[in-house]
Order: sequence, then C-alpha cells, then structure tokens
Amino acid sequence: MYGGGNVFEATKFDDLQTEDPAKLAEFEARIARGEKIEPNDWMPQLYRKQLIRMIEQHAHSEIIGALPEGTWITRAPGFRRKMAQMAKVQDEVGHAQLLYSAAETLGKTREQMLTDLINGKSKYSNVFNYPAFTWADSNIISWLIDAGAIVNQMANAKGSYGPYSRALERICAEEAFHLKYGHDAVVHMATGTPKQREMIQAALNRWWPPIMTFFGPSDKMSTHTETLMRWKVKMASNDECRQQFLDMYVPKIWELGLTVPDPNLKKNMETGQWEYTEPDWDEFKRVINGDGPCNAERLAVRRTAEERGAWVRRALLNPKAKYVKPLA
Amino acid sequence: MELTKENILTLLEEVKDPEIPVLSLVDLGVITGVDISDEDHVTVNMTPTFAGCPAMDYMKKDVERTLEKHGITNHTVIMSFDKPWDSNKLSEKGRRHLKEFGLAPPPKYDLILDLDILEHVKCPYCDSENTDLRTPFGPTLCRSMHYCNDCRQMFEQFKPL
Repeated sequence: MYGGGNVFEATKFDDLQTEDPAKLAEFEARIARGEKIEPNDWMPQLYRKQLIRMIEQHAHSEIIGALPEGTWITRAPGFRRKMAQMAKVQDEVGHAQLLYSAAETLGKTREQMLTDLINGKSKYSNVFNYPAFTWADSNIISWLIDAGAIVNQMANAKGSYGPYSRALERICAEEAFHLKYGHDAVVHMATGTPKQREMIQAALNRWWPPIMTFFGPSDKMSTHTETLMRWKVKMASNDECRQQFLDMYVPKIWELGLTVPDPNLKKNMETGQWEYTEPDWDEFKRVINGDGPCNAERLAVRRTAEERGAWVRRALLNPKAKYVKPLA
Repeated sequence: MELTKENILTLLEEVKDPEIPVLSLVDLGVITGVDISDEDHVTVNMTPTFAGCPAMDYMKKDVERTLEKHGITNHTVIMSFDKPWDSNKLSEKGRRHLKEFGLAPPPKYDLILDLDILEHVKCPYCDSENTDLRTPFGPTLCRSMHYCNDCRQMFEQFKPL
C-alpha cells in the first residue's frame, strides 16, 4: 500500500541552472525515448532528491501501514482470516524492503531514512495516522486503501527510474491480491448479519474522509510539477488518481448496498468527472504535521523497534568489512 | 470438449498463482493429479507449496471456478499433503516465466538442499552472480530477498525447497 499525494520538497527550481547543459539534454532525451535511468547513470540533483523523497515516503508508508492492520492479526475472526491477515502484513513489510533498497541506490542510507522517519522529518501516508477501531476498519483498509495504492503505483511503475519501477511492478502484482482479499472480507461483512452490515458501514464512514485525502491536495501545476512529470518522476496528477479511484470503486461500494457518507458525491455525466465535497485540507495539514489521532503512537512503535533492535544491527556489523557507497 | 486428463490440464493452465500472474498452477506444480472416473466425475488433486500458505483456499476456489466455467460441474478438488510440493516440481516454462517477471527461479537440486543454494542466486535482471542474500523471508513464505551488486537491484527468489 502506498501513501499517494507526495509532498515534494520545495527545492529551488534554480538548482537546474547549475547542471551541465549537455548532460541534462542527454538525460532528458533518454527519458523521452522511454529509457530507464539506472543507479550508476548521470542524473540531475533535483531528480535524485525528489526520487529519494518519493521512494522513501513510499517505503515508510509500507511499514507504518502495516501497523493498523497488524494489530488485528491476534484478533482476526478465525484461523484462516488470521493467516491471511498475517500474510498481507508480511507482504507490506517486504515491500518496504524492496523500496528502501531502491532509495539507497540513490545515495541515502537506510539508517538515515529510518532516523528521519522517527524524528518526524520524513513523512508517510497520512491515512495511517487514523485508527482501526474494529475488524471492519481493518477490512476497509485492506480493500480501499490498497485500491488507492494500486491506482497510484500502476501509474508510478511507468516512471523513469529503473530500480523503483521494477520494484513497483512486483509490488502491484501482490497488491492486486490484497485487493481481492480486502474485497472478499468486506463482502463477507456486507452480506452478513445486520450487526456486521452496521459495522462495515460505520467503518466506511470513518475512513471515507481520509480516503478522499489519500491522493493529496489538488494539483497546482507549478513549473516544478511540470519538470517532474517530464522526467517521469510524477506520472499522474493527484486529481487524476482520485478521479480514477472514484470511477473504479464507488460503483463497487454501491453494489454492496453500502452508502458513501458524502451527499454531494455524484458523477457529472457531461464532464465525466466525479463531483464531491472538498476534503478538509486544513485537517490534512494539521494531521500530516503531527497532530493526528495516531501520529505519536505510530512513531512510538517505530522508535521502540529501532531501540530494541539496535544490538542486533551492531552485532551484524563486521568492523573489518568496508562498506562502500550506499550500503544497498 | 472431450473429458481427458490432458484437456483438463490445458484448461487449468488458465489458473494463475494469485500473486504471480504469469505463473500457472500447473507450471507451479501444485496440481498433483487429475482423475476422471467412469461416470465422468473429475477429481483434481492439489498440494500447497507451503503448509502455511495463506493463498491455499483462494487457489482451490479458483480451480473450482475454472472447471465450472468450462461446464465441468461434476467435480471434486482436493487439497492434500499426500504428495508434498518441492521446487523441483516447477516446470521449465514456469521457471522461464518467473525470471521474465523479475523473480529468480529456484535452482534445481539433487537430494540435499542446503543454505548455499539459497544464498547463491543469479540476478534475474542482469544474470550477475555477484549477489547477496538480504533476508531468507521475503513478502511471502515462499520467497527470499537478494540484492545484486552489479545492477544494484533488489530482487526476490522463489525459494528452493
């Protein structure tokens, strides 16, 4: 799963002025030809920086995203669901492994990324700052958050950075299975007893606002975004992803007899676009900057894991080994 | 369609591993037998790759759905451990597909499987043998994770077992 709507660093656009124009032109020509950029190739600083930020955010979202569902492993109803939930969470952590390695090839160490996560410098998908109160919440995450992730990742898999796009191709295949798992779990609830139906509807109501912010704020097309799109770093705009998600999943939600808690949600048949109540972007900003219901709890789990595992990492380090460029 | 073992196996080619869309269950080697009784009752025997495989149920249902889609309603699909799976059961075609998908196929081995086999894997992207084992447990039980020092790509191996 993935936190879409990347927050791109406000690197000064002037940074490009310092790049070698001939190399830059060759780099752009390669991307225009559809070639992949590999770790040892020349790339502009802006490209490297934004990719690190993007892949790192994605990797953090995988391990933090494992938490709200992970807490439901011990309480999953029945042995089979417990096994499936465990496997899904393991998948997500495996995705983080793939992604941290891809980010490392760009020159930032895993240790630094994890430190930045814990001290709040790097972000992860904002939806995971909300709690999974019930088993139904966990099902809604498995279905709709993973669905949103797929929309985002399918687009990014066509990006220009080789290691990232290859990792995403692999990840998408697994997310597709998560989606089936999540859908199956939601169908089970939605076709169950009145109490189960009530539970799944309540969970959907709780999760709808965060889901609507999942793809990030509306796009303000700056010169910056344009460059990143030309370099195939950012492959689709936040609004395009949101529209695609609504198109694919609102009918599926209605099909189950569930309702979406937004009276303004409808498809405009003339424009072919979905209309909806504008999400509360002030809340989004407040939560992403640390003041959400679960921010402290999520980071505390990471911090504890980091502290308790420190001796293992020390023991594994061989003082004689020379670790050359990104220990990836 | 005439009910023969070959025909059933051909149509079961449609059923893919739930997380590896290029690999059919037949090539994966989890379909261990097909029997057709005199009364045209079709029995498909399956074995999971791992005892704890969470996709077991899903694969079984998928096989049943596929049989029914082709008009075979008189069937029984049995998941059993009588014939345990091992990675040597992967077909050559299955191995090729895995590699194209970016997963290192498990090497074939004789008799004894040791950790050396798990650790020395060719990168599925650039064929380099300059790779390291990162973790013996990847996103699923049946995969380990490796890193290629040459093309600097993290990749997974479908574990030899």
